Amino acid sequence: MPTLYVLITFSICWIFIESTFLISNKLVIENHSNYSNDTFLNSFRLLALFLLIGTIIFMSNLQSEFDFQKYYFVCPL
Amino acid sequence: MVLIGGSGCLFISFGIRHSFGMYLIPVSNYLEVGRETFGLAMAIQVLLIGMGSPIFGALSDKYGSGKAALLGVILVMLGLTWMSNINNSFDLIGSLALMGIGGAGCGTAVVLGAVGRSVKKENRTLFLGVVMAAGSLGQFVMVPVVTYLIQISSWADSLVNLIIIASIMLVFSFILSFSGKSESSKEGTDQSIKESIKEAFSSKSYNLLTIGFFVCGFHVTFVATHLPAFLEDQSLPSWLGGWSLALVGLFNIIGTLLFGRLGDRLSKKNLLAVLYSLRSVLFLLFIILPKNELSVLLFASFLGILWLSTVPLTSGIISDVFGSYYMSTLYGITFFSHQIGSFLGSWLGGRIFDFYGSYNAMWWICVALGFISAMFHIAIIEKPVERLSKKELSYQNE
Repeated sequence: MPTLYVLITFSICWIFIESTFLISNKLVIENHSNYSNDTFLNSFRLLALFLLIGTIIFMSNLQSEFDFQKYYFVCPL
Repeated sequence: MVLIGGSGCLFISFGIRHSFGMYLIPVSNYLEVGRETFGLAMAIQVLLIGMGSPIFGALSDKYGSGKAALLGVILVMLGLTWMSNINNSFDLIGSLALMGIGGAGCGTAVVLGAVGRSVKKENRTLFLGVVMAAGSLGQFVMVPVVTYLIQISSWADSLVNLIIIASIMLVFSFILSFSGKSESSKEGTDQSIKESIKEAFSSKSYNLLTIGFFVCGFHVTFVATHLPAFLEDQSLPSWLGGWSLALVGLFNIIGTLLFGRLGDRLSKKNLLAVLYSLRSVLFLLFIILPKNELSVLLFASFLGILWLSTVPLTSGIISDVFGSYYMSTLYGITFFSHQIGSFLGSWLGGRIFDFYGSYNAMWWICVALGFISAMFHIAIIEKPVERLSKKELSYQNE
């Protein structure tokens, strides 16, 4: 069940990210960057997919091993 | 090369710092003290990272990023060694404090300055985003590694393993000494550190940016510290807290890269204004909407996108406005403001909960601060200071 919720959440967020890129492309007047948008976007999508799969595998197998929520002492920076 | 060194440094230093929560129970039990001592030691560490950042930033700008990072790594390794041999509360606080000072040396101020100086202006924010994403990834993956190390040995032995992992940063700090080769890194060479700080503080934009970054620290640390407890109070499924933090971590990496890329194509200050406004809207929706599995996971994911995305944009503005020569020092000062916000966000969250019995007031403070910070960023003038504009003009005339 958690995986289904996570996949729905990921899809909604990804729509937001792709829309952000579409809007930003329309707003850019001059682009000095050496990297084309397509090159960046493709690597970016691949990384996101890799991270999603990794997270699902990790959380599905390891969440029962330790109380992630209790000990995950978040230090933002 | 510098990108690899910076990414490696932040991956390990963020990862080690992030995994200290795993030591909360075993160390508290070993010392036979309450969890408050460990919490206090962590709070001191967070503040010392903030205080140490401008100092290490100045050392980095004066003597080189490699040397500053090397000193930081050595202090982290000494701190880890001390922590693996602790006997009382003083040892615990002292060792974590030492790691805090060291963490500032191999943290964002030194690394972002090194990267900012080494890359072309056109791609600077993206590369700052890449090293920050590596740091975020380190936070994300080191926790299970440390858990595994504690499980297969003892907490003290696992710290010895962490010393070995930290020693890899020695190589990365050596790589950082190759920073500062790009043309833009020469901007500001005729200034002293004192003059650069004076120039920055006399600029309205720098002050606004520094105050704005305080809000970032306030938001993220409040949420990071109190979200799991808040979710527990809402009687939601137990798996939700862990998954929420995992999604914050996952989307943090994605968000940092996303805003890093956008920062090279659009106005950074406008992006920051949008980012802080979106945070406020997100907090507002979280207060108003009913809390269920989907709404909590969506909140965590969107918050992840907006989590550390402020860093490449904030550091990018500093280097664009003041040049990248003293970027580490100036970013270090701004980062100190972030850490004060972090400290207050964590402390005030607990204080307000104890006083009112709920986090409602705190969420509203977060909403208000987000919008205030957005307004501050709109007022920033994202143009190089006069000194740099004149220099650019003289280059063009030559």
